[in-house]
Amino acid sequence: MRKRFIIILEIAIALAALLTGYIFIVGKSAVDTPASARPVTTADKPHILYLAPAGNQRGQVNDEQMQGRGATPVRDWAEVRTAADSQPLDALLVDAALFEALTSEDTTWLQTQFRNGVVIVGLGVTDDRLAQILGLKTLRSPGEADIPLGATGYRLVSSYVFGQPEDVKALEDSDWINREIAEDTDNSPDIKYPLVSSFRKARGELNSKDDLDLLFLRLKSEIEDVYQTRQEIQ
Amino acid sequence: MMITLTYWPIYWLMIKLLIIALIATIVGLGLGLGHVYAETKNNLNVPVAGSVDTAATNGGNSTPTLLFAYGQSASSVNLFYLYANARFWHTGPLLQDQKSKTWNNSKGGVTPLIYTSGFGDKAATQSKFRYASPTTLATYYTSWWPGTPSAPGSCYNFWNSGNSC
Repeated sequence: MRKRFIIILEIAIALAALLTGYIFIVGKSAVDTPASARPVTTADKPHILYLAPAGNQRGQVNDEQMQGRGATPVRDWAEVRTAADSQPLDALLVDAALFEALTSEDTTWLQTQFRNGVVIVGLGVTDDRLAQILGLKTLRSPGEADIPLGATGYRLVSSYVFGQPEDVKALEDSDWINREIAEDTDNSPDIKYPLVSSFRKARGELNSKDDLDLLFLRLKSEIEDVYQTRQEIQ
Repeated sequence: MMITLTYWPIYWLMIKLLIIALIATIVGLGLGLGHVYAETKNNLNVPVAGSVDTAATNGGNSTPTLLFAYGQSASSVNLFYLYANARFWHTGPLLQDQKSKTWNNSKGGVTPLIYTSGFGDKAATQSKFRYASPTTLATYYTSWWPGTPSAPGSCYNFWNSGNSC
C-alpha cells in the first residue's frame, strides 16, 4: 500500500514537472523565428530618407532619432530626388508638412517609387490624404474602422510587381492596388509567365522607443521582401 | 543516530522525487522548445489540380509585447494563381499590419513577417488558389491567436473585419 502510494506520487510529480517545463517554454512562445530559417539578401545598408523640416519633432521622431536608425534627413523633394538618382531608395519617411510641398511632378515621381517597391511612410498624415497623393481611392480595408491616425501616427505602405513587362503592364492596367485594398482579388488578368505582386500597409504610433522599434522592424521586413522577391523572379 | 536512521527512508524518497522532477522538467522544456504556434492546413483541394495545396498562419512573440506572424499559400504543383493575405487585427477594428502576396504561374510561398505590439492582437490569413485562368477559385482561412492552441479566427468574418467567426 505504502509502496503503491509512493509510485503514484512519483508519477504525479513527474507529470507535473513535465507540464511545467513544457508550459514554461510554450508560454513564452519560444518559437523559431521564421525569418531566421529563410535566406534573405538585401542591401548592406538600406537607403532610407527622412524628409521633414529642419528642427522638426513629431512624437519621438526627429533628425537625431532617424539618423540613429539609419535614415538620412533631407529637407525638400529636390534633395530626395537627387539622392534617389545617385542610389535607389529603399524607403522614404515623409512628414505631413512636406506632403503639402509636393508639385505635380514630385507626386508622379513619388507614385512611381511607391509602385516599384519603395516603402513609403507618412508621418502625421491622414489616410485619405496619403491615398490621394499615391493615386489610390482609399487605404482603409472594407472591414476596418475609420479611426484617425492622429498627429503622432504613421501609415506605412508598399507595393511591387516583378515579372515580364507585358504581364506587369496587364496587372497595372487592371488597377490591381485599388482592387487589392477593396478585397476584389478573385479575378486577375491573363498573366502568362511567373509574376509576383505584393501590397503592404501598416499603422502605428511615434510616441515611444518601442513604437519606433516596431516601425523599423516593419521597414526591415518589407525591404528584405522586396530584395528577395526581386532576386527570385529575375 | 537512531533518529537519522528512522528518517533516512523519507530523505531518500525526497531525493528520488527531486531527481524525477528535475528530469521531467528538462524533458518538458525540450518538448516545449519544439513547439510552434501555427495553423496549417495541408492537402487542400483546388479544382482540377486536386489536393495539392497548403495554407497556414504562423505566429509568435519576439518579446512579451511584440508579436509577429506570416501567412502561407503554397502548392506542390504550379498554379496559375496563389494568394496569401496575412493580417494582424486589433480591437477597433484596426488593421495593424497586413501583407498580401500574389504568385502567378508558380508554387507560391510565404509572406514576410508582419508585426504588431497591441495587447490582444490576433492574426489570420486568407489563402486563395486557382489552377488555371478559367477554373474555380478555392479559398481557405487560417489563424493564430496568441495563447490559444486552437485557431478560432479561421473564417472570412475574422479575416475581413477582426470580428468573431
